Amino acid sequence: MQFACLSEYFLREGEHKVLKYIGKRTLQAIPMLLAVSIIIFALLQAMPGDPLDMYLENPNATPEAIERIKEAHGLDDPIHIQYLHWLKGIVTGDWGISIMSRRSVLSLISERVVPTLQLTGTSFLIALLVAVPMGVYCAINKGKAFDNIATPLTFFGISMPSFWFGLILQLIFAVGLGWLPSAGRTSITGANAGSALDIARHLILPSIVLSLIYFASWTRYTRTNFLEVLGQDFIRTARAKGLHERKVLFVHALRNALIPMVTVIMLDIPVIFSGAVITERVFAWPGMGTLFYDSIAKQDYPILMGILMVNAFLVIFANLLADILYAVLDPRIKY
Amino acid sequence: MVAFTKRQMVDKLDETAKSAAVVRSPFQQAVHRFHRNTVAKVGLVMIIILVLIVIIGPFCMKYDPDAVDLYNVRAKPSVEHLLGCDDLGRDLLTRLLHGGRISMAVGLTSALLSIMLGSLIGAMAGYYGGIVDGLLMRFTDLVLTIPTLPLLMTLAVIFKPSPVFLVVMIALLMWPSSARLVRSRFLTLRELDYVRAARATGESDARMILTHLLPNSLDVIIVTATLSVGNSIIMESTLSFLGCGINPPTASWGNMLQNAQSTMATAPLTAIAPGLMILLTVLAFNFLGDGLDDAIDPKRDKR
Repeated sequence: MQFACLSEYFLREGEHKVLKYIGKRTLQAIPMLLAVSIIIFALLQAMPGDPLDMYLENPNATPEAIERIKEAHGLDDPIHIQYLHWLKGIVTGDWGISIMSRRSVLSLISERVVPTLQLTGTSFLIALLVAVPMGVYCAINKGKAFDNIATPLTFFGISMPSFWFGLILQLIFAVGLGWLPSAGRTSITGANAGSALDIARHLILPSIVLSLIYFASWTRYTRTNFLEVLGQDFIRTARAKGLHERKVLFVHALRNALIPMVTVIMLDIPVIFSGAVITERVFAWPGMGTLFYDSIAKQDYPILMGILMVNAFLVIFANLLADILYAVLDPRIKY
Repeated sequence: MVAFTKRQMVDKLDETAKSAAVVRSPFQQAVHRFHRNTVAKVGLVMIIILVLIVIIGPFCMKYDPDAVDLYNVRAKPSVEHLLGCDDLGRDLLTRLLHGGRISMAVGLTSALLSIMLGSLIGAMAGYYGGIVDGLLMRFTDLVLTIPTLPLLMTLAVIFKPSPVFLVVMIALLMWPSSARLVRSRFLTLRELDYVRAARATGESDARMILTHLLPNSLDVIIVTATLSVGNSIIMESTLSFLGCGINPPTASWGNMLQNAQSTMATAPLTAIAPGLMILLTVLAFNFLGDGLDDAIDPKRDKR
């Protein structure tokens, strides 16, 4: 039904207009990305230590050799040339070498992507599947017992430090009851170590912790939005026409209440990365967050920069997607 | 038909006149609405109690918060040590109270700093409009784009953070949301007649902002400030937990949980107590903030 609506809209307004808007917003994202890359590069420059420090302790490194290395890596170039050089590397996939493991940053990051996606994806899904129905239910039954209990409870979700929530879940379900594994992504020993079921069991606690961050705010947001839509004229019209209440609520109201939710959810995608750093640390989940945390401890700057760059890209992309989806879904938006 | 005596008639009229005379100012209405909001009152009382505990509490404790006592490593709660001891034998309750001072101080000051910065930038953007607005808001968007936690962690590696540095950094990354709110309030106010009248009398920009626009945005500012205290307390404790905030031995609620995973099996209170304090404090500020938000908005008069 939504789809039929969309195509009708495209036909009416002309598809090129939407495409033009998408193109315009995409172009606007590029200076943003450049600005963030400059900030990240500036951070890299502010880091204590020099890439050449390790050669200085090597007795075989003659001043000429060091000079040669400097020249080969362009370390004597003016700062803006160095930046362009670094940027070129980022674009062409040369993200540098990890200081600790001497491996390519890009390959180190890419092998952490799957575990992180498993964790964040599951959490996102849990939050969405619980928060939206709960918000709608609270809005429909506003002021009744469930709403009066659930809405103040969402405060706990917002006020809960997520790392502590993780610790408490570990204390109860892993240390106390022994039902679930406390950390890691797979069991080290055992018949089904590494199987999908094994990973799923390890996934339960961390994904509950990570979904809590969104669950509370999304529930509140859905509730507020739904109530707002219910107060509008077209809902009164639909009811006055004698439409079945269920149809009024779940077709007319829900659809309109969910449009702003799309933006909120899109804008929360990058936040999930910060959450992942915390959750992965608490549960020793071997994803990008753990890689970031370990690199902080070891001061492995190339990896830090790489992950910050990935994160910044994600934020800008999510912003872009949120704007585009909003414009496409809500015909009232003028470009 | 009930016949009134003359006396009753006078009383009745008097009553009507009295109730008609009760015209409350918007501020009084807000106070009234706040007064009826139980959740907000609970929040306010919780904040007062917590602040008092944290200010007075440390004076009542006989232990040094940082004194290592190897005879009492992970001691169980007793009369001597009410909440037991941590993995270095330090009295948990003493550290909890001292840590509370740090955590609350960092939370309150960084929220205050960020709201001041946000109000300033939001006010400039909203008042001047045009190019100033465009530039400032793009800058705000840019700061919003920066992933806060990873960036703060990276900065912590570069500059070993002192508490003051931590406060400044948290504030520098938290101001955008308040800037946006203050700006949109300014945009509304700017078009109102009294503001135009004031401008027509030739008042200076600074005076316009300080005496006419800012006082009328105070409600937004106070609500945002209250809510951001909770956020910055969570931010500080998370950073300290990850080892990128307040450095031990100085206690903060966050860094007291650093070793919680290794101690929680034998001394569960070391994992429970500091987090519970964070939760209660943040909860109190969020209750209060939400209640104030409801109180200042007459449209949200629910009950």
